[in-house]
Order: sequence, then structure tokens, then C-alpha cells
Amino acid sequence: MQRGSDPFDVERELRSSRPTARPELTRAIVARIQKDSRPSRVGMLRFAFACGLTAAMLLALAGFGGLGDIASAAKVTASTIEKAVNPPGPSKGKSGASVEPGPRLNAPGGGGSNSDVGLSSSASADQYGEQVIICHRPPGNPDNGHTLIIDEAAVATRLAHGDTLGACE
Amino acid sequence: MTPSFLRRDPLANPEVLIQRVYAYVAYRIGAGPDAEDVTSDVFERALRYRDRYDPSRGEPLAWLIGIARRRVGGALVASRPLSSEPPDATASGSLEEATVRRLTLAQALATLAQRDRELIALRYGADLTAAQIACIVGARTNAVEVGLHRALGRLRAELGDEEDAMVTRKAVRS
Repeated sequence: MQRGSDPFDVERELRSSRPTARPELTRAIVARIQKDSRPSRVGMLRFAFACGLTAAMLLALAGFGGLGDIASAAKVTASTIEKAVNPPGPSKGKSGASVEPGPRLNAPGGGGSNSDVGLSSSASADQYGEQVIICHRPPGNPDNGHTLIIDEAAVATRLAHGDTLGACE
Repeated sequence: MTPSFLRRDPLANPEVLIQRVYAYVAYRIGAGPDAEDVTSDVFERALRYRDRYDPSRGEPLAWLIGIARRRVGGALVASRPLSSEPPDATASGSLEEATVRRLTLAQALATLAQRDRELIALRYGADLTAAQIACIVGARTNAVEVGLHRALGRLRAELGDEEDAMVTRKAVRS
């Protein structure tokens, strides 16, 4: 369609004559969308609830020693790997002479066992610390001793009061 | 699985989307109340199914146009002839000329086949690229470009006829 000096450019006309929605319609739809944004908040609350529930379960698990179990398993795994990589036993020095392994970390006697390097033997030990068996002797009646299992932190105090290590005979 | 509230919201920037969807619908069935109803319906459905929007399958506009195509199809089945807003009686000068042009264009569009009108509405109403249109209609980009070219040719021819008719009417009146 030509209009002399004013050619009817179809593509330009299609773009410039593009129908536009009335502002009232736009406002109504936008308001509807904003009103419907509530489900997103519900979703967020659901997610927060799930996180809270997970945290509560972890706490409950910790109370029963589950976390200690996991920690113990991790330590045992680390110990196994350490043994595989660095097996205990005599090794040869540069001169060819046998060299004994030196004292390990936290090793009171310089030995090479797991307990020597501070590794606990059980999950409960990881969770609650080492327990020690003693023989409690009442001050007024030392012959009436009875066996107790106490935390290792309390051992020194007990010994100072006359108790002895190990079960009563 | 990503929670729905962490996913990208397809209706995060609604104003632009409303204009594009309305323009598409208006080019398909004519501007006016029917086009507004269909546009509102499209966004109502989009709100209902916004959790199903998958960004990997296209932009929010393409998703909305997909919904709009189905709604327009339904509207056309139960349809009346292509409607259009009446011209402003107080329009004058260049405004009057623009109004006449818009009406002429709308009338010419109404004579086109549905397929041609669909391509023109997607390209010039929704302002989609040929590649985006190809994804929506399930055709090759090249086929869409050729289809658009032919549709524009038919529209030009139709507008030429309209122009001849207008010149004739003016001559008869004078």
C-alpha cells in the first residue's frame, strides 16, 4: 500500500500500532499476582519447618550417643588408614640398623596401640569421656569397699581419699 | 529437589509480560474486551500453574504465550468476527490518520488465514524472535521466517486493496 510520499510500511505499522493493555487491566492483573504471592511464604515456612525438624532429630540423636557413634567410626577409619599408610614396627635407618618407633602423641608409656594415641575404644567413651573402675573404701569402714565406675576426671580426688584403682576384691 | 519458592518466578516482572500477551491476543482476535478477558485468563492460569514453569524450556514470555495460544484457540472456536475498538469520534489530524491506519491494519489482519495471523501476532505482538516462534509452533526457524515473509506479503496485498477501496469511497463522497 503506497501513499505517494508516505509509504505504508507494514512492519513499522505493525510495531507502532501494537495494541496496548489498558492501565486498569494491567493494575488488576498485577494486584492479582501480588495477592497470590502468599503460597511462596507458605513454601518458605514449610522449608523452615523441615530444617527445624532435622535439627531437632539431630539433637535427639546426639542425646542417645548417635553422634558419638559417628565420631567414633570416623576416628577408627582414620586410625585404619594411618595404620595402612604407616604400619607400626621396626624400620631400617640409613645405616641399615633397626630403629624403634618413637613415642606417639598422648602416649603415656610411649607404646603404639590405639589407646596410646588417645583413640577411644567405644562410642560411649567418645560421647561421655573415659570411665574408670575404682574400689571405694569408706573412711570409717575401709574394709567395706565397693566397686564404682567413675569418670576419669574424678579419679585423682577419689585416690586422695583412700580409694584404689580396680575393682574391690 | 529445589523448593518452589527458590525457583525462578516466571511472573516476577508482570507489567511487560501483560503488555506482550495482550498485544499477541489482540492481534489474534482483535483489541477490546475479548482480548482483555483472554489476557486475564492467561495470567489466572499462569498463577495456578506457576510452580510447573521450567526455565530450561524457555523464557517466561514464551511460556505465557503457549498458554495464550490455547486460550485464543478456544476463543476463536466460540468466536464472533474479529472485533476492534471503535475509532475515537473526537480524533483529528494526525491522530485521526493514525486511528484510520490502525483500523485499516486490523481489518486487513482479519482477512488473513489463522496461520498467517498467528505468525504476525507472535512476531509483532509478542515481539518474539523467529527462533522463539519456531520453538513455540514446533517448526524450523527458517520455515518461520519464510512463513512470516509470506504472511507480510499477503497483508501488504490486503492493505493495498483496502487503500484502493478507501480512495474509491473518498472519491464517491466528494
